[in-house]
Amino acid sequence: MRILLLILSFSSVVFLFSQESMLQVIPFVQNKKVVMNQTIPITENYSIEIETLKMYLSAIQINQDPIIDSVYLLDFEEYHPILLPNTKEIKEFSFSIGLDSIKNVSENYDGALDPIHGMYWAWHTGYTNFKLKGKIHFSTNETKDIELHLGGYLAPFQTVQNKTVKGNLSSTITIRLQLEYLIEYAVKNTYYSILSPGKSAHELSSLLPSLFQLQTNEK
Amino acid sequence: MKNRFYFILFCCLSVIGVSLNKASIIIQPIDYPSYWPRPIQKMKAINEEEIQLGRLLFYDPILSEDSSVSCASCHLQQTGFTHIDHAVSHGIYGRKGTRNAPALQNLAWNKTFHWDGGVTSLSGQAINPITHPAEMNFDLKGLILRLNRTRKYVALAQTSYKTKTFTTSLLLKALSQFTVSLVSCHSKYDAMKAGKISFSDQEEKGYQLFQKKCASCHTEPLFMKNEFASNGLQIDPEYNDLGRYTITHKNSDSLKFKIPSLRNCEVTFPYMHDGRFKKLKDVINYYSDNSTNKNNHIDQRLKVDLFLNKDEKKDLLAFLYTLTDRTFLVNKNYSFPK
Repeated sequence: MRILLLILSFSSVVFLFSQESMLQVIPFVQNKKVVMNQTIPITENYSIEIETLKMYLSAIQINQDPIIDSVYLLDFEEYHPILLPNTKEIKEFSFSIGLDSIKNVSENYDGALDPIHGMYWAWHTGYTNFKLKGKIHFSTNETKDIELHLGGYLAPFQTVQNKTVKGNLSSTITIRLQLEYLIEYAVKNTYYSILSPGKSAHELSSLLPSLFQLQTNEK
Repeated sequence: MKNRFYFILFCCLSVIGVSLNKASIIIQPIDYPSYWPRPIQKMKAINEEEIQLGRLLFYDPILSEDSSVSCASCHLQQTGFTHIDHAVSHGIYGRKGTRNAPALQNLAWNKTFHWDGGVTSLSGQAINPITHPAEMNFDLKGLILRLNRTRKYVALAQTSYKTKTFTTSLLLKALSQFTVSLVSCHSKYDAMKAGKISFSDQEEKGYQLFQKKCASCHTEPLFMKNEFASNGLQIDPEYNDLGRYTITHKNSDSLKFKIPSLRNCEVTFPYMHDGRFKKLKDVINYYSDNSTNKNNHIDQRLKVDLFLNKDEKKDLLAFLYTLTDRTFLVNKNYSFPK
């Protein structure tokens, strides 16, 4: 009886997943998958230990068809892939990294937008689009905290970014998030602590689309 | 006859239906004088139960990490929902903030909140004091968990919102429903505007002075403006507060703060964003007599001659006292729920 139940449960999970397309975002640093709280070398001079990595993806479109109200919070401490409506042929996939100004002031505090997730900027109405927190360990034995809260929706420092990938995509779209680009830029420019909207958050956010790269083994 | 019977039956069933569905009875959230402008904040229809839930939460120290501080700790009804014993707000463990707690009144007419205008929605505002380390220092996750373990709030969530769990959304909605209901519109000034009474000679003189010297920033009938301005105060090195600049990062916004309402100003001391003036006459003296020691960002409207002689100052003060709304300060609908 137990085995039968197990098989049934397994089948229903398989069935559920087979009905939908999926988006996976996998963070990497220099070709190494990011494991939270583990040190990963970036250059010979320093390595990073990531403690928090969260971001909003929104305004998802498959073959230019928008998925209504698509707002997802990716939290890599407890990461789950995003399930998408089943689409046979995906030729184009686009999304926003972060939230547009309307969502920032929507006063909808449910689901992914619940301030409980720690992405809401209380003193400055709106959300952090991208959050990275960790430690940079230098070869000189020095350690520096790095905390990047990238967000802001007011001109001229809007931070929401758009990304589009094209090709014959499989129903499971896998995106590599190449974090070293962002971290190297931040270290080079001594952006160790960006905690409010403004010029620096705007500048760093403009790098975000280049971090999202389609996994090359797509069909 | 048969038709009449069915009509009466229909009416009875309707009344019973409405009674059973008490939580959905919609009331007009805000009643305000006809000469006031339309509110700015979204005026969603609300029901009395939501306001009462917000009121319970407002007065409950359960919202702070160590259950020692409630919203009312810094926003006392009798003083126009602000506090009067400190220049800047105090939080748990005796921690001090950096700004004077603002009065809570007529919030629906505000475009932004906080001295720097960083908060644009009333519903999201409450997250600030709840999570601020110098105020209630509680993370939302912990608070929602605590509320869901408190039988009273779970039961009220069920009554007011037909939900078994207390969510962030519900918490914020209830608090904003209560605070938006704090409308002060029964001062002597309001009675004069409604033609019910007349000002005394002194009050009338003060009113004339006010219109000439103060009204460009503190505009009637709300005696505020949804703008930011520098009143010329030198920066306090203890706080180094740049005001609106911290939000916009524009140099032109440096040392600008929200222009507050003067309604109930008789009881909302101390004054200014950092509470540096304890008495209303100190504020009048500052604008009237201090023409030199001011910061470079001072607003154009304050660069004119604002000098008042001794009698004029008394007249202005007499007028400002007409903005006190005693019924608001003791209104039982806003007081600690018993």
